[in-house]
Amino acid sequence: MSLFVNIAEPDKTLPSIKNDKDRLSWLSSVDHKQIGIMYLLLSLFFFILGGLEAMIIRWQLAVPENDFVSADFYNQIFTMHGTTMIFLVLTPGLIGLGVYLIPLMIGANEMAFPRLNAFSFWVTCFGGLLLYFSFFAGGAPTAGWFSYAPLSEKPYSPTTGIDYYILGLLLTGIGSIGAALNFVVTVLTLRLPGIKLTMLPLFVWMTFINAFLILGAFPLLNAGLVMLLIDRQLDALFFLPSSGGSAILWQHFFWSFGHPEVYILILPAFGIISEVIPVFSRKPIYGYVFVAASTVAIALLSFGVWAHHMFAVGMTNTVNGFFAASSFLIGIPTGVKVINWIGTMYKGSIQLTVAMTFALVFLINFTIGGLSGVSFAIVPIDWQLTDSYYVVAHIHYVFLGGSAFSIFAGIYYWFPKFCGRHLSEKLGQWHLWLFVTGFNMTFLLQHILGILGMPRRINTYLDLPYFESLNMISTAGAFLMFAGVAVFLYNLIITMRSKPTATPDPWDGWTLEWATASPPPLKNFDTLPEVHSRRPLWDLKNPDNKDKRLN
Amino acid sequence: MNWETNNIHIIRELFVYFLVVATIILGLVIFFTIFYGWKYRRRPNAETPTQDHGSKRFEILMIGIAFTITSVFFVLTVNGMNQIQNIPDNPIPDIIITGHMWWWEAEYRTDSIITANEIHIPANKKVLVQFNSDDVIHSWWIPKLGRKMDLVPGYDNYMWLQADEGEYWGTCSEFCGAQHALMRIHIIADSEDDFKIWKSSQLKPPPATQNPLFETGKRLFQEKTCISCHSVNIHDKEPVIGPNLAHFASRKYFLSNIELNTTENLYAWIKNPPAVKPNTQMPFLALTDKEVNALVYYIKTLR
Repeated sequence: MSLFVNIAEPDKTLPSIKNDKDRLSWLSSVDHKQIGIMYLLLSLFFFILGGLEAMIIRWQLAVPENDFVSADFYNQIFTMHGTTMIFLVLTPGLIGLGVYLIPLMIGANEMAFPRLNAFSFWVTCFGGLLLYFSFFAGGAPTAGWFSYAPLSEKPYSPTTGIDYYILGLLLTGIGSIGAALNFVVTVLTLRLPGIKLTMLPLFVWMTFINAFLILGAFPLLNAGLVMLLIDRQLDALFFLPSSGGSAILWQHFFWSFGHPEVYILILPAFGIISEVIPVFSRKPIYGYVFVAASTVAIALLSFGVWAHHMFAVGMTNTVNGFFAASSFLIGIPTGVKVINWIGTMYKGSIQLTVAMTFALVFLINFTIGGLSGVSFAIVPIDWQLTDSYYVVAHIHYVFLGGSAFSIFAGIYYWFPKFCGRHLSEKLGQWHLWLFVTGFNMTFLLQHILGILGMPRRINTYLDLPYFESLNMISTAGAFLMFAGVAVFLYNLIITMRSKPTATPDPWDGWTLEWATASPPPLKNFDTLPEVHSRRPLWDLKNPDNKDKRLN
Repeated sequence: MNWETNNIHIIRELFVYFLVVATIILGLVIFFTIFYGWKYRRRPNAETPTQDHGSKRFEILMIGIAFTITSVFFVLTVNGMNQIQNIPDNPIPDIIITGHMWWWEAEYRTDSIITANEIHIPANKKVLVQFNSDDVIHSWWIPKLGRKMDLVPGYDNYMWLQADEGEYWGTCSEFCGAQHALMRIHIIADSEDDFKIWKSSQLKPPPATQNPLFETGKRLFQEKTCISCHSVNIHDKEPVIGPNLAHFASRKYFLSNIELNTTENLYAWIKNPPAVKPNTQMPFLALTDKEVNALVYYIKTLR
């Protein structure tokens, strides 16, 4: 039995200047690793912009009746903050990790469609730039990231901001669809012989399932966006009730995309956590089948929960009851995952690297976000707390405490693979604790603000009891997060200036990306071990204690 | 759970149940994460731990527990929801509240009283309110009275409102444009007698005033086209571009309850509306100080 099999290289040379070391070669690259890194840099760039917008928001809300920025500018800023973080930070960040890692983790040398890969990236990038161009074209959109009609219609939003929002999101949406298609085909066709679908690393599995969610959800958004564009530019009346349209229709379009989108931003994050926790606990993931199957359950259910965003629009109890039930159900597979991650740690040998600590902090903070999410399935509680700061707290616990923390875990974990260098663990700890402390200061108290009656999306508030002190603490927390991000950026810069010292397999990992150099050469693999289980490198390193053979 | 006084009690009770269960779950997650992280931390020369791939029985047990908890909450949810939202099939509302950018119009159907922003209701009585909107989506939320209800253009929504005697504050909770933050709700729940007094005072014409300033103000109100947006007749549904100003002087606040209804505030407002409330639909009319004075005087007589 030979331990190594040869990897077939694509027989056609792709029109790339891959071998050219000139920086301009990035522009025309179709190499999945370069594109993955460009996705991550794009995400980082917009993360800084969105973060600065968040600082403006928190500065404005630090004290009651503040006039640091005007109402109109504030509305532009909070709209851009939400839109940026969701469509231009988390989406490309998670897609970027997938683009970089999926071929490596399944033993392939490229994505299935390298040119589509480059197209997806660039169209996402241009979409983001177009959205931001609105600032120079008469003002950014001011209708919030979900841009409810009829407020987003011409009579109520006459500037071009909403048009840029529509075009920008259409482009990034097309980019996401392209990337998703690429993931599906890559995973289905380019797996190393012997890797069955049931043997995929969980990050690959979750990104694969997630790709179907993207393929199902983004067309719904794009359809809605085009209808809104037709309304605004060609005077159609889809969403204008004064002329026979429906104000609720937009909400159905948006949330039938928007709720799967929430899972689109969390499933790959679950995948990262499912890679990081086992490696640093020196144990395989607890209950692989349950973690994998619960992903499918979440994906299916996620298309049937959207109207829980709309409990307050006045639907009947029958409709509310249906969506309450599905929203309760979707909590169960999510809970299963948390239990399995903790189960993986049980009797392990836990090494608290920055990546692992981020994963553990994720566990706790994501659980807070998950639980507050379940409270919205309790319709009367939703009636009370929807559209208040309780929701603001909830989404940040899911998107920041969930998705973003896991992306940080992934960056610290895979950075040696990406760049051949280890991020400083010491600076990483500073980044982590500043960020996590600031995060909880900012958002934990916002649950209480919501319960006290502070609605979301207000640029000013009266000096009501506790409002000032809670908001002030919240703003102080934002500054700690800001400092944490500054440390992270500093860490990135000094690490990139240091000499590459990373070994191919610094964490003693088990998946195939660790079976090549750090960073991988242009052609990812020359040879690879034969794969018979979910942890090929474990089998290689422990020939007398192999995992159960699955093929 | 019984309908005792109002929605908020049902919501509070459900929230307490939720909070107890959620706290226990979160406590367990925090405990095990930290405890395992500490107890199983890697020690020098640690051996590779046993490669445990999981237990089907444990997983099924956990799913069973999760399913039981959520089922209980689902039943509680449906129960609470049906108690709060039990609107008759052909609802006949007591009050019709219409959202405008950025103020609240209230119509008392049986007495055909049209007023704005300061909304009186009889205390300790179930009042059926119909909500709709004239422009974008707004949302009605008085935290102390529970449940918010969106005001959606093109749809009528209904909600029971019930309050103990007192004043209640709230704000618009669905983002509705530039002045969303300043669209405050002010409800006054009057005792039965006080409510009757309020109603009859609204139905009476304002006390007659005879002096030149009043006459000038009244004339200016017509000439400066105030009248094309504001009515001063309590029964007028039109025009509804601005609030109906009949008995305006009887209201404690104005501008969607953000300014005290004083002569100075009113003066500043009429003199230069966009300076007080940016993006307002009320135009800057370049009135002279004298004209503003007369208008303020006139409006202040509408008691």
